[in-house]
Amino acid sequence: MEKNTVTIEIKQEVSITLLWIVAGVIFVSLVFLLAPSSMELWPSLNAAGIAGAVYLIAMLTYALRKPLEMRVRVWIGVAAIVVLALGAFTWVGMQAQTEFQADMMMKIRGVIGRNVMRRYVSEVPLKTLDEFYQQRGPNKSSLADIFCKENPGAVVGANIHRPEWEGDWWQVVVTKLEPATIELLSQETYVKGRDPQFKNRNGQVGMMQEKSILTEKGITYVSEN
Amino acid sequence: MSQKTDSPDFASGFIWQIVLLTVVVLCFAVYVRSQEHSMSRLGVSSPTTIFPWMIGGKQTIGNGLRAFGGKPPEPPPIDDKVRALGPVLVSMVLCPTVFFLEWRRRRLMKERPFQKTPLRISGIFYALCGLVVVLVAVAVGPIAYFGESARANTRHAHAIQSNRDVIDNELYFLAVDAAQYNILPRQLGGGERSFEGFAVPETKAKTEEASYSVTVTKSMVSFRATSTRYPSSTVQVNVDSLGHIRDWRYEGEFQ
Repeated sequence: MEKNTVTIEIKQEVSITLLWIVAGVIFVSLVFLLAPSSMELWPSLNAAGIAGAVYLIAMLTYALRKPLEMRVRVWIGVAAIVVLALGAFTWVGMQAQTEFQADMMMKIRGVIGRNVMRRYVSEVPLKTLDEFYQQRGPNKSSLADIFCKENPGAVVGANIHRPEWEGDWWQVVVTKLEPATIELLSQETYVKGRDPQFKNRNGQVGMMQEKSILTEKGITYVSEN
Repeated sequence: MSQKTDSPDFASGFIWQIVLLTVVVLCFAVYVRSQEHSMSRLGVSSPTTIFPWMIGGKQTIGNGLRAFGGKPPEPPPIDDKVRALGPVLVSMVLCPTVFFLEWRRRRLMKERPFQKTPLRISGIFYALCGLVVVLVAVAVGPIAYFGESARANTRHAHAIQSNRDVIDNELYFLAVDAAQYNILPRQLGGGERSFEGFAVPETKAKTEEASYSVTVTKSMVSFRATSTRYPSSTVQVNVDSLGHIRDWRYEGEFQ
């Protein structure tokens, strides 16, 4: 008789455990799936994490009810709160860290892009200037002539940059080509500059843009955005 | 009938249950391994983890890499969503529920010492769930500490690298100034194929990131940059008569 009573009690408790598990799975899964869709997993994960924490607190409240001793209930309750708090701290920290690293990637891309743009719009006119002042004799070519000789196909409006790697979408455009003045304008096509409202030469808005002006007196460099 | 499995220490049917559990676990392990193997052949790393934030982090870094290459971000694939939800359900719903409710039942049953519980598959499952709960509870503290420490170190390293990148860029433009000076004739303020007389322009001698000094010979210029943010860190370069920068030397935290 006693054994039958115990068996029935065990079956009841197994049923209750299964009910809790099913309810928890449905609750957390629904919250995860119904969270606003995004290009990131974090909104869904955070919603599921909060739902999971709420479920854990509810389940622990049920599991630690009387007639368990007060001492045991307090210890386990405190330990659960500490673990939940540390878990939340790690969770939030990990999200912040990965978002920081993703932002850093774009900042690094911006630094690389700006440095490459600046060097290109400096090296090309520097080479022209050097060759211009190496000329001897009465018949000297103009800056524009030397520039066109070194950059075949260079006319006003032409992009003289050839992509060097996948993702290298920036342009170096000749915006002025006069005998004594050459202007080069370099622009990124997907890396943001300082001013998000800046109107770029090619019609885009907010992209990085650098300019250099070559005259017989030297090179002037302007960081436009 | 087996004498061993019919003893009071084992529940009836224990053997086939433990065999079934072993087969299920083995099949799951083989499936996970084959998924990881096929993913690695495609050049995609896909972590199998009990910590869901690793899957979230993988998606964020993946989108960051796409943005780096000029591509638009992509939504998370369904596989990753399942991989992210699974650990949440296991570590926050299934294992704690099984462990704590069974623990409560066993603790209250201690009041009935005459009841001897035979070993069941549910007992093994309870032990496994307990292992997961204890593992998560014990690991979360060190993970929080080391994670925060790693984050602080990463931020510090990024700040140093960022400062160094700006200084490198400013040095490059000083080198361009020096190369121009070398090219231009004296009547235009240049050195006419000599660096003698070149000085760092006043506006560029001290910037937000560093202060710059120069040592000049006829055919070479040496620049030294001392970081404003990390005063023990310096960068030194030489510029030759062709305007090429050589002999980069980094000291202090820039090493």
